[in-house]
Amino acid sequence: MIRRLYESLPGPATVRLAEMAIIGAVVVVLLVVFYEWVGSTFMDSGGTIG
Amino acid sequence: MSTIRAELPRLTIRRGPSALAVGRVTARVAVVAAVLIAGFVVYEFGVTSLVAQRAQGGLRDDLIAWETTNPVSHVTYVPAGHRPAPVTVPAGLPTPEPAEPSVSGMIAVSGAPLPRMAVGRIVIETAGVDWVFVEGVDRGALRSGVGHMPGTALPGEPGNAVLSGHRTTYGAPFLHLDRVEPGDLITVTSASGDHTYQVVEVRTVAPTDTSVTGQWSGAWLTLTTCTPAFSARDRLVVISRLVAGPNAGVILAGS
Repeated sequence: MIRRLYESLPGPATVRLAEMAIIGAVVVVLLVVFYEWVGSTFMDSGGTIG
Repeated sequence: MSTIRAELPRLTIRRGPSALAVGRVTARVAVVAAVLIAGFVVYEFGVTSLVAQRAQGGLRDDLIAWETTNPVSHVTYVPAGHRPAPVTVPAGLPTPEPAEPSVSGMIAVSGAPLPRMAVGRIVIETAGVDWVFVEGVDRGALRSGVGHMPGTALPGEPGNAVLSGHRTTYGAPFLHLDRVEPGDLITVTSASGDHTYQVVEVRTVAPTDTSVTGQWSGAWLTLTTCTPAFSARDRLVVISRLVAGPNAGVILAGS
């Protein structure tokens, strides 16, 4: 899947690597936001009242 | 050669293309789900704990600076009108002697802390708690573990000081808060001194039950965290009363 994504990207190899790095960073940020939301909503909100 | 190949039995199992595609998709979905779940576990229990522990390291230095630079002033304590505290003191625990409402004295109070700055340190031996807490209970503040709810009293001062903390993530400072029982002691160090509280009640309430964060006469410390563990469904609340410290004598006499 990752290889297919890499091959579908435009540009030479170095540009593709840079594009993959950007995509990876965006995915990580989105995952952290998602994990943070799930964790604080359903698992441990910090014990706040109100 | 071609003769031999022709005589070999065909061992290849033929599958329809749709079954193969479904199998591949299922396998990929399973792999992606496993990676996502593993990432969730690593983030919630690994990354958040690292974040909190790293924050605690800096906060301990900040707390020393806050305690040494914060101007502690002494003011006259005039007890508020007597309102019954919404807690039940278990039998066997000492009850403060009732005093005249006009009793007053000098108590130490510290300046208002800024959001997310280190305010004090809480130690509960029976629950394995030894954490520096910050001002605020928003998500950012609670990334360091424990936070003091703005608008409530500061520890050691008249009123009800409310501290909220994570149960299972961000270092899990209140993981074993359910081990606390009435009679246990809680020590809070703040700019105004070392204050000792005695637990009088442990209860479970709904997350929206703001009765436990109200300001009562006397000096109280209320700890809140999620319960049951690994769920944000309810709140475990530990209510304790100030029994020792620089302000305890005056406040207890007036409450």
